Parts: sequence; structure tokens; C-alpha cells
Amino acid sequence: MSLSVSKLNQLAEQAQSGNTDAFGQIFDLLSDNIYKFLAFRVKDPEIAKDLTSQTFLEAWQSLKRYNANRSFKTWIFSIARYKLIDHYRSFKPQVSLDAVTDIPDDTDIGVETANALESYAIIDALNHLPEMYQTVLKLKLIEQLEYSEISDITGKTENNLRVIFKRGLDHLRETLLDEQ
Amino acid sequence: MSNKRFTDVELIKRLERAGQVFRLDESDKGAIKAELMTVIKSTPTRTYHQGRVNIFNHRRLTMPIIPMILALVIALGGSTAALADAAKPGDMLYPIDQLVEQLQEKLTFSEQAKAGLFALFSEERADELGALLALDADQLSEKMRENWEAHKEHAIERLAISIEKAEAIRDYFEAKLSETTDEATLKVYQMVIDRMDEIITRRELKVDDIDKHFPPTPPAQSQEVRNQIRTFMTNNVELFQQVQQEVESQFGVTVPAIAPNPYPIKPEFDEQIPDAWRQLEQEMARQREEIAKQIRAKFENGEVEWKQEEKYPTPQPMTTTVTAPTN
Repeated sequence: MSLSVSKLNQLAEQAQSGNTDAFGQIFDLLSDNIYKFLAFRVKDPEIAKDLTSQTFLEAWQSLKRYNANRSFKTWIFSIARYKLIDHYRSFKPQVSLDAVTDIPDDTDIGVETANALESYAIIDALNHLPEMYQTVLKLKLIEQLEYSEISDITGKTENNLRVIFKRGLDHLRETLLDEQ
Repeated sequence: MSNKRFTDVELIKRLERAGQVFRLDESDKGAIKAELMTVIKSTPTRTYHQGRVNIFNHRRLTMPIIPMILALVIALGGSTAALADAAKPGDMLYPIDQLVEQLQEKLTFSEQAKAGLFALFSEERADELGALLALDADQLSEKMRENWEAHKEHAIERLAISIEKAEAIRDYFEAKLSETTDEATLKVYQMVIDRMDEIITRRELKVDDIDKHFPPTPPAQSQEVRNQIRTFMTNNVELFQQVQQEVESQFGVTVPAIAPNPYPIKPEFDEQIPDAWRQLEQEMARQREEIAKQIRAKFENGEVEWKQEEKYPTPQPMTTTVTAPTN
């Protein structure tokens, strides 16, 4: 689902006025993205769910600090990043790749197993890249953010991000080849 | 995977597909949302009404006061008392800290996260007790001493409850440890158990320490700061009550009253008022003037409507009697 930036900002302004239904709609629109962003890092679905809840609660409590001139999506992603940092400080993340090999009941087991194993290999390779490459690749391809939004989160220029993205892909390719 | 060199396009497609493995189940999403909406509906947020201003709404004038009070406490060296996340019993923001804790506990799902969160709260409980013990009961009036004793007993009780909870969490994970064979899971559970043991041991040592060393000698600065804050509150009863009403209406909590300073203010004390206090008064006057200017401008531009004057209950003065000591 492609999200209109102006629609999200509009809902955010309504939520700032105390409209809880507007905030509920924001949750409906962004929870999948936030969850995916967090789950990819912590790899544990339960911890990712906790952090997702905490992110949205923090966003609600901090709404008065949200500046309507800024994209709400990048603002809440910043909160998610801080929650992730706090989590790493207080808890050593456990490696749990159950989510990667979780296979739905109604699918072709062979195909899904192959896809799951491939995803496992790519995720593992991605997580071994230098931090900035990881961040940009994940935000662009996993979270489907635009370069302008990633620029807002990371503080880097869009041109710089495009270069990092390309170099990240090159690194990932070499890492995957080394592992084969 | 086959031994081949992926093109950029192929790599991007595989990465996007890899991202699909992390998806939020609809039932989980619903559960998270339901819990979140329950919490936020019970947590009022400050509203901003743009365009219409009631110039008789005095609350607009008191809205900047809470941050200024916090600035005053920080300026007077009130340690971390002014910060909501580390408020101590008796501080104005302590009930807000408790409310935030309740909200955090309500929204935690996983067992490990609960254990980690509870460990953090246990650390804060010990800090609260330490702050209370820094006060010297002999220097307080009878009434204040009763309040202090009650707060101390309450803090000890909470410490004891935190030990019981840590033991319950440890017992729970020990039972789970015996039931599982997965190595990764075993490591997680053992980590939680070890952490709970550390917390329980430290808390028990703390309780022993309190029994042996009561009452402690208070740091002079801590008591002086508290006296200064109480003096400020006593001399600004109406202001404090406005702040109290603001906090209660925004957060739905009852702010505990702080007893006035039982010692009369000597004339030379005025010379000892910290610069931050004078700056606070100047800043309050400046902000009032700024708000009044904005209101006048909005009225002249036609953005403001005249509203019926609203009735506000007259604040009741504090009834505590202060008696000057006879030296």
C-alpha cells in the first residue's frame, strides 16, 4: 500500500488535537512498516511486537513535539530507531530465526522452504554488512521509504544515499558469492 | 542458492522478498492496537486550539509554568527529581512517573521484555528509597515527619513487593527452563534467571542496609534545596494550586501536597534567593506579556472571538499555620 505523506501528516495533526481515532488510523497504516523495521533487527517476533507497541505509545505521548512541516512517517521511524537503541543497551538480542523458517500451512512446502532458506541467507549476509549499508538497504528495500525520507532519518543527502545504496548492493553481492 | 553473480535487479527483488518473512499477523496487530487504544484513551494529551482564544482562560497563562517549575528545580540542584522518569516519592511528578510505569507494564507482551522492564523498575525503587533516606527526620516538623515516615514505609513496601515479583519471575523461568530443550531458548531463560538472582540479592542487601543504618545523616545541600522549594511553594500558593490543577487535569492524577516551610522567612533570606529564582519570575512576566500581546494582535486581526467569561473555582488558601520559633 502506498501511503500519501499528506494524508499521514493530516492524521497526525488531528491526533495532536486529541483525536484518538486518527491515531488509530495511523497505527493501521504504519504498524506493518514499523514492525518489519524492528523485527528485521531484533529477529525475535515477540520483542519486535513489544517495541512496536512502545514506539506507538511514545509517538502518542510525544505528539506535541511533532512538527507538521516534517514527514510524520520519518518522525515515527526515528522513534522506532531510538527504541531499538534502548533495547540493545538493556538487553542482549538473541538470535532467533524462527520467523524466517515459519511456513504457512496452505502453501507449496518445497517452494516456501527454498524461499525461506534463500531469505535466511540474504538476511544473514545483509546483517554482516557495515552499519550504514545495512541501514540504507533495509530502509529502502524492506521499509520501502523514499530517499527523501531516509535522508530525514539518517541526516545524509539523497545523492550520498544513492551512492551508499549502490555500494551496499555491491558489498552484498560479494558477501553472497563468498558464502556460496 | 545457486552459485551465480546476481544483477542489481535480481538482488533487489530477493531483498524485497526477504523482507516479507517479517510480517505482523492480523490477530497480533489487532491485539496490539486494542491494547494501545485502551491506554491512549486513558492518557489525555495536551490539545492545541488554534484560531480561537478565550482571553479569560487563565490556564493559557499557566501552561508555561510547569516547564519553568522544572527549570527551577533543576537550577536549585534538585538532582533528577524534575525529570518524570526519575521522580521520587513526594516530588510533584512522582505520580506521573508511576502512571508511565503502569502504562509500560500494560503494553509489554513478551516474557523476556517483562523481565527486562521489571529489572529497570527495581533499580528505580532502590533509588527512590535512597533519596528518601537522605532526608533527616529530626529537622522536619511533626507533620512533615509523619509524611516522610509514610513515604519511607511505602517505599520499603514497594521494595519488598519488587523482590517478591522478581522471585516470582525467576521461579516462572526456572519452571520453563526445565521444560525446554532448545539451546537458544535455554540460554534466554538462564539469562533471565541470572538477572533476577542479581536483582533479588541486591535488593535484599539493600533492605539489610536500611535496617542497620537508620536514620542516616542527610546531605546538607539536599535539605537546603528542599527547603527552598517548599519556601517557593509557600510564597506562591495560588501559583502552586494552578500548577496542581493543570497536572491533575492533564494526567488525571492527584498531586500530593507539599507542606509549607515551618520556619519563618528572615529578611536577609531574600538576598540569598538563587539567581535562577529571580530569572524565573522575570521569565514568567515576560511570557505573560508575550501571550497578552499575541492575544491582542489576534483580536485586532479578527481571529479571536469574545467568549462568555467562564467561572473558575476560587483557589482555597492553604490553612497550615506557621509559628515563628522563639529564640
